[in-house]
Amino acid sequence: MRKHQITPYIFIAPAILVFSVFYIYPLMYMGYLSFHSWNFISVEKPFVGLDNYIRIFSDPIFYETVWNTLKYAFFTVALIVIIAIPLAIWLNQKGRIFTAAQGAVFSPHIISLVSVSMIWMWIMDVDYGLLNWIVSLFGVKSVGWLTNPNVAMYSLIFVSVWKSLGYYTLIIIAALQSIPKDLYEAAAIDKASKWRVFSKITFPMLTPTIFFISIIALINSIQVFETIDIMTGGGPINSTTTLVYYIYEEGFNNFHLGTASAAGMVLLFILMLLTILYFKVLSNRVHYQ
Amino acid sequence: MAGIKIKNVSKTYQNTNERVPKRIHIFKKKIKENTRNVQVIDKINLDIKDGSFTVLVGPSGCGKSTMLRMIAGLEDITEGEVWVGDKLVNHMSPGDRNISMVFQNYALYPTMTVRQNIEFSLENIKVPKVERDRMVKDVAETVGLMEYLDTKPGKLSGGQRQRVALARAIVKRPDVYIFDEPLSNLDAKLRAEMRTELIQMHEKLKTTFIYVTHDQVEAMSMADEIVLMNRGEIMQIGSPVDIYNDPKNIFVAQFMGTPSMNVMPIGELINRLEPHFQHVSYFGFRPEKGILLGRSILHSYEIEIASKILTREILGAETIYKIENKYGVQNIKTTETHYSLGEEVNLCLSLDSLYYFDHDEQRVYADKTVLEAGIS
Repeated sequence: MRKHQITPYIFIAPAILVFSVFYIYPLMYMGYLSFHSWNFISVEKPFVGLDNYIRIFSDPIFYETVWNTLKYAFFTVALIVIIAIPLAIWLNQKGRIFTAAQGAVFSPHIISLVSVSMIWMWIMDVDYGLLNWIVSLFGVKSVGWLTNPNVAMYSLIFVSVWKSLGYYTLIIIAALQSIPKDLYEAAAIDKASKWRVFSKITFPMLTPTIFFISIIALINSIQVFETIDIMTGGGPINSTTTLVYYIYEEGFNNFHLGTASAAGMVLLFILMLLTILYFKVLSNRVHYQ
Repeated sequence: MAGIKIKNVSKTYQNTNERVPKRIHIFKKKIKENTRNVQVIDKINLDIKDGSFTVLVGPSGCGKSTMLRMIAGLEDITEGEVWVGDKLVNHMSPGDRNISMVFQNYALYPTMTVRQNIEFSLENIKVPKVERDRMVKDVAETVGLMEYLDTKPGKLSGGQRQRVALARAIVKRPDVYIFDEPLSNLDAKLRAEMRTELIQMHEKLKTTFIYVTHDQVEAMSMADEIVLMNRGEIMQIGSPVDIYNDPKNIFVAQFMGTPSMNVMPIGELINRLEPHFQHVSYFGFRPEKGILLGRSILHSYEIEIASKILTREILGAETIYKIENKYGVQNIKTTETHYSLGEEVNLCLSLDSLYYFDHDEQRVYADKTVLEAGIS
């Protein structure tokens, strides 16, 4: 009898072990560190209570960071959803051109983010970048795509949308293809206009997928790091510093592991809050079959 | 209300590897030399009378659904003309043909409620709200869906979904109703019920019904007129009784009826036909026309064939025996249940129950007097 009670736990033990070591433990340890002061080297980790939290919450740059993160996440998700749907509908046609276009749109996804960042850094360079050359053809003065504090964030958002659009488009194409053809035939017989077909059939059938990709895109964009590290280093004047980049700077450049962990806890909290909010607000509008 | 005229209509799928719908894969009738074009409908002429209940029936891949979809406008017409009433509809979009279609999988819009499903087509042609509500209410009462108007199709049973599909078709008041195997997803009991309801619905609406099925029972029980198709061609057109009693060829004879007609090579029976019927190659009879009698009993049927019982299926009201004799294996449908496996019996047939077919499997009409009575 007892044997039977233990057996299932033995089966799940490896997964639990891996999960504990790589997820639960670091999470707990981050929580622990956020109440202590540590610089990576010292043996002592004195308990400082809420000091770390007080420090980040009284740091104006931290608020700017949170704001930047939300701005980045909002625009990235919004643009992806707004562009990916029509793009997917356009690409979801038969023919060689569309197959090729699907491949082209998807290809940025398989390129390493580091390479993507390097390429776009070159394209967006103020002095010898491709983008400014194109802009100059229209008589516009050089734009500091990555050096102007008012523009840099939007440049990063653009790169991130460019990079991940193909992936999300592909998911929507898959969803489009799973909509039964006879619904469209029935709509044709019912004399529905193209707009009515889209707004009453296609779009409602896509809502579960749109919900899925927007939540995945949201979580991914809040955790953005590589593009910022490579392309702007959080600058100019912290205009592109997001939460994850702030944590990295605090922890690994300034060696304030305590404040970095506190910021990590805040990030965790924000993600949790957004996810819950998302499910509460949107799940009512999503149609599951 | 409108009749339908189909003149010389053909359908060819070009570049077969890519475009032929899966359901047609069985039927590769004419693959033209050097092209990969497949012709699935071959110069069909058909006149569907206004207000009739016409059933297109045939085995899978015979082109019946393609035919239907060409009438509906869901499939291009390669050649020929389709007329709905006095309108040539070849290049009309499906929405302009004033037809309703009930699909095999119902094709209900899953994100809409029953009410929205029904009024979708009315909204598309901008029927005012008050008018729409009245029409939806009327039709919902007709099919018995009043209490489900605000439910989504996902929550309904198969039979209820079928009713929504019907309601959606009726509310448009079309000239022609088109049904693409609408009952094939229902269980046997519900199917029988819906058959009756469809017949009643046709009685009430008095509009042209075109109904596609591969089920010969559905065709027999519902149709005014049956169009039996095979390999892209019409085999026979006629009332259910005509098709059953007067089949024009072996295909029709064997497609209709369960078990199907027993058709055997004519064998030595040929010697008993008159000389000018020497081209007869096959003879056949319906399973219910065969009479089984014990060997020892004296009787005087025109044909008696010594046979042996192979299997017995008791279906309740009737029993189906599989018997073997020198002409091969045949099915016999009878009310007798007492013959046991392996028992020696006589298969007795009267001459007027026999059908004859020539080498090309076409019917040969032979008068019964050509045969002399006697033990074969």
